[in-house]
Amino acid sequence: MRRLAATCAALACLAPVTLPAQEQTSGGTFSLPINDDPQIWPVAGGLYNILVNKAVYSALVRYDLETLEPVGDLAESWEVSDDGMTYTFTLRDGVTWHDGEPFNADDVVYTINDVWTNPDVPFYLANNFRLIEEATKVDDLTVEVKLSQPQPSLPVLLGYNAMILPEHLLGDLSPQEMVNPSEFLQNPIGTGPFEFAEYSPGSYVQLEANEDYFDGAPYLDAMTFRVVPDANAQLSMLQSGEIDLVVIEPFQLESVEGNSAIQIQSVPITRHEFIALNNDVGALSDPAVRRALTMGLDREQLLQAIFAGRGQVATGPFPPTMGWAHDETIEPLPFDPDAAAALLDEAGWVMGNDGVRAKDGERLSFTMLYDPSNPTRARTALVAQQQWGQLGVEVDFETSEYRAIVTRIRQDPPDYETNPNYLITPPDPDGVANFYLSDSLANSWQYENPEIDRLLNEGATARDRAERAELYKQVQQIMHEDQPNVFTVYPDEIQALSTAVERFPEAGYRDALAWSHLISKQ
Amino acid sequence: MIHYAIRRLLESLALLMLITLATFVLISSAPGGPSILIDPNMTPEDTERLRAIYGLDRPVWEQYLRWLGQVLQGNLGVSLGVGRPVGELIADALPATLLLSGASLLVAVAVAIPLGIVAAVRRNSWIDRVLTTVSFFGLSLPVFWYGLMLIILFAVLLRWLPAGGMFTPGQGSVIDVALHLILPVIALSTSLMAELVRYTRSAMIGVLRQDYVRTARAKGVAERAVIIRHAFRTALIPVVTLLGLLVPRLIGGAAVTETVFTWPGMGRLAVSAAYNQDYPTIMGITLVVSVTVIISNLIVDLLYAKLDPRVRYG
Repeated sequence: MRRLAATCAALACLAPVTLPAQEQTSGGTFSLPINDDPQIWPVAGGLYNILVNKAVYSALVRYDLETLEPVGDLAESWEVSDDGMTYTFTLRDGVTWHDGEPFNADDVVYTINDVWTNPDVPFYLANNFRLIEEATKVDDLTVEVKLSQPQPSLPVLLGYNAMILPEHLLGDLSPQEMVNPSEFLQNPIGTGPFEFAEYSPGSYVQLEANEDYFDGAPYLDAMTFRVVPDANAQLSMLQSGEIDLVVIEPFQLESVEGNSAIQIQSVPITRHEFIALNNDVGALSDPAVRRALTMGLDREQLLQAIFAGRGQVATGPFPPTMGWAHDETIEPLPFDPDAAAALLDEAGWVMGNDGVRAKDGERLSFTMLYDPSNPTRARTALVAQQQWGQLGVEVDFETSEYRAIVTRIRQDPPDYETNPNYLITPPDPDGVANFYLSDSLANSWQYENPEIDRLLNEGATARDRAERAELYKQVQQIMHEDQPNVFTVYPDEIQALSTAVERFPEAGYRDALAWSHLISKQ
Repeated sequence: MIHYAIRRLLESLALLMLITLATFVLISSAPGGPSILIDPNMTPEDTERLRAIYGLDRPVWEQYLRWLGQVLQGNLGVSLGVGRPVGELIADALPATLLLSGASLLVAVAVAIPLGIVAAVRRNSWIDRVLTTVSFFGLSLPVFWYGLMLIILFAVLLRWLPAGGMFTPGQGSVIDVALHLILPVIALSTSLMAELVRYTRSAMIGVLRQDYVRTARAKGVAERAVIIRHAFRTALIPVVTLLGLLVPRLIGGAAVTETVFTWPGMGRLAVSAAYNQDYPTIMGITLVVSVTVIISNLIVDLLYAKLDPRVRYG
């Protein structure tokens, strides 16, 4: 299922990106760009910060590279009580912090009780752990986590940017000091495969291999995260051999394909692209109209033309990377303009003389809000405008800056009609549920279906995986009928790697960096 | 002169208050909000909690007064994007910008002023025409394109020079920095040079026409001395004005050049702060650049007296 398309430009002879461990080369420095100065502080978000944190710190759990299932990181194993309300984590023995102090249950208890669930600490993912009541130390290597209700997605969420922090260094800090613990951040201490070595503000963060890493010493000697905000500059530095990896947008493929110094690795990630529809806006509240919009949009063409064919056509909000929860039996609605037109006719939207449908004097016309600086989204908007125009649906554009768009979409009530959008979520349907529950503030599409609410809530607490899978399959089938949004594509992440790279773990780079000890260069 | 300087300083303080207030109101009313509150992984509940922790849920006037109070105590606040004190961010970025802009200004002055004089003295000759045309091109080159072309040619294709950054991670010797400096200096000094050549040329032409220059020549002063000692000194006045105006631009950093060449200076800091709507950093940079503009204008005004004895301050 996990499709590894390692196309090395025209050169099929280049080393395959996956190699058995014993054949990997040791040594070298791996460089990758980040957009801004990282704080190297897991309490704060920001991709530039998260990526470095993955190499410096460890979580309790990380995702298996093949299946994306949660597997132990600092936790060796875990058990759930019969009522699903208590998780007992057995920690790895012999793990040390980068300063040589032993890691133990105190660190985990501290991180959960005093950081994640402390409302005064600005931990950006606190909502993921809102059901945790308390963590307690059973012994040095055992931690018990009590929940206020069963949360089978907990292990997945524990692997989602939730890094364990050193109690012996941070335990005395007040919540205010946790905003910016400047002394600790001079030399951040984690348990990850790489140790902090040097920080040159505005330029780079250099990490050195942690020879004592619990999962085996890294192949590399060092990793460098270079601060390169400009996308063109990132590509130039990849081409000049100054960095080893750039995650590119599909439209950038053209400029690197055929370059003998670059190999491309495409990996499926937990991301779905869609055109968000504000279900509260006139015609868009009618599922028949929403279905017609999906059927009137050639998503296969979108995939080929805009996503360079890397990915697959979407059927709902749970991508195939969610494995057990993804319903493979659902076929995407066909691209069928005639059937779409018939649906609109049936719903009472009659073609007018101006080529735009109308019903009771109201024209079938809405605005699409998008960020023109993002070519992927801008092109999606153009294709939709053109294809829906042929259906007799008028689309006017409104452009704005990314953050302003996010704010408008997220405000209550949302201030938009349609918008090309995407979500990257944890690989568990419960990580998506928040976006589709009727009373959730994150449900910017204003989609309301009591049956979906029931299924999502039951799926969030059901303890048996088969039972959860069944519930989530029903969710996908209902949404397939309802089309709350126009689901378009599950795009791959496209990694442009220097040919000097022997192996970059085959997963989205957010997840792969939790395995950065496996990266190697020739 | 002292009175004049003191009065100007007091006026400047009022001006500074106005600038910071206007900036604060403008950035606070821009749609969106700080990036740290827009992380797609955050739920609206988390966003609200963080907004309160950072004090962003307070009225704008209260946030401004709080910022002003901090500044009066010498504290520029903590960046909302990278979590470090703004004072530190600026202290880190300023030397990089001074190096890049200082080197570019030096190169530009060293090349452009002699060329401008030559163009004026040999007015309408082929050399003047070539210089005027070339400088016109230099002025019109957009740096984001020109810089990228330099990178593609010298870093990607020829691999003679690095594509970006100020030094190679883990190195940072003088030679390493110098190599990283070459391309951005070429990009930044090109338009400076073009501006300076044209400015020097027209200032010199104006002066060379003056009666006292003719008199000097009539008295038999050597042509070289006429140009350097008599004409050029007078022509320097508008050129110094231009340089005075350029200095704050150089301190504020060349946003585009620094972004294209990944130079860790003030311009890039400002771009990233603006992009992330990182209020404290934007305010800190605004303050530093405003102070520089005001001081360099003052210095230019005072320098006039040295260069032109006719200027008196009352």
